[in-house]
Amino acid sequence: MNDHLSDEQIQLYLDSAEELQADETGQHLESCQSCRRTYLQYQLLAGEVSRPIPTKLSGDFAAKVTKAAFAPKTGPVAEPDQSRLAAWILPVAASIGSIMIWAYFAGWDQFWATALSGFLHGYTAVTEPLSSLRESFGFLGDSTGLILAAGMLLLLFGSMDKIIRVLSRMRTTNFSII
Amino acid sequence: MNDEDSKLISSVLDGSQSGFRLLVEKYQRLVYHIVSKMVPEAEHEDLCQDVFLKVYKNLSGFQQQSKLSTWIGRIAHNSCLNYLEKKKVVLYDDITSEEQTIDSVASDHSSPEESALASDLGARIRQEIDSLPVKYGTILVLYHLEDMKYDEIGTIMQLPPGTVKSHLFRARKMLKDKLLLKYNIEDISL
Repeated sequence: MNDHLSDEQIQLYLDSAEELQADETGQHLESCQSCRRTYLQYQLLAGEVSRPIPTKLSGDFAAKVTKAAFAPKTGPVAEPDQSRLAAWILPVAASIGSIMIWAYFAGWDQFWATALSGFLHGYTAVTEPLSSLRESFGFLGDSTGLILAAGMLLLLFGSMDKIIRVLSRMRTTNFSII
Repeated sequence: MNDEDSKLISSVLDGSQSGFRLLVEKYQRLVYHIVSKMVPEAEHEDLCQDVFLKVYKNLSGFQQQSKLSTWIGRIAHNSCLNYLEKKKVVLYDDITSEEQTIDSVASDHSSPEESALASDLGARIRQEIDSLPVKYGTILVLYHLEDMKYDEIGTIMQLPPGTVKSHLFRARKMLKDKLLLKYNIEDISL
């Protein structure tokens, strides 16, 4: 060993003095006044640094934090918006209705009835109202039917902006309608 | 992780307010030690509260592979780093040469009256720790006051254990040299 211990050796001994009581460093410190002085300075320093620091938090800090953590979320809460639901349902219903009526006057009642019967499990249940509707308004003729169909198309396109708005809102809210 | 912490975590995750309060009481000293070494005093309470709110919010994601104290300490350290980043404070501007430190002690602006106020050795040492680079002060506090090991401090401060050890040794030497230079040597020598 050199004449004196290195600073690192002294600090290592300081941190693990209990396990190293009898080792070479300990023996050197017993005999070397200079190294022992440095060691005692470190020991004093470590003792002072280890003294608890008074915390300057408010007395009820824990209660305050707990209250804040468990407080109900503040800020705007999303209320169910009935008008938004209505805005979504109405254009869809109008679109389906207009397509069906247009299809009827275009002579596609058989086609629609067949298609819808798959959903409704009742061919007659669908065809009968459509046939009676045609009988009731058949006197109006094909031209009136076309005008009515055009009106329905206008209604569909008129509702298109609402449909687009609702669809875009659904995308931004992860497909949640409300 | 010890049983006590596991029970605390379970109770908090079950929605127990008293459990969370116990957790805060248990770890507020650790959080304060980190925060008080890294940010100005005026921000201590708010930042400590912010740390515990983050702990509450993220507790369900805690893996329980590390100690709860280390995890909370890391949240505290990162919160302080974020705060300092927002304030554009350069944190780890290492003082590489110890001579620089000694020079800075020689040109210390504290008045004799201020020095006189630090009447006992403990107060003088705390004053000097505060004047150390932030990471040295934080390591000193975590090692000596929280009895943490190098690897635990390393986890909190995202430093290798070897670096923690060398910083600790350097911090203590710096502190000793500053005290010896600044105060009458008889005051701190035995």
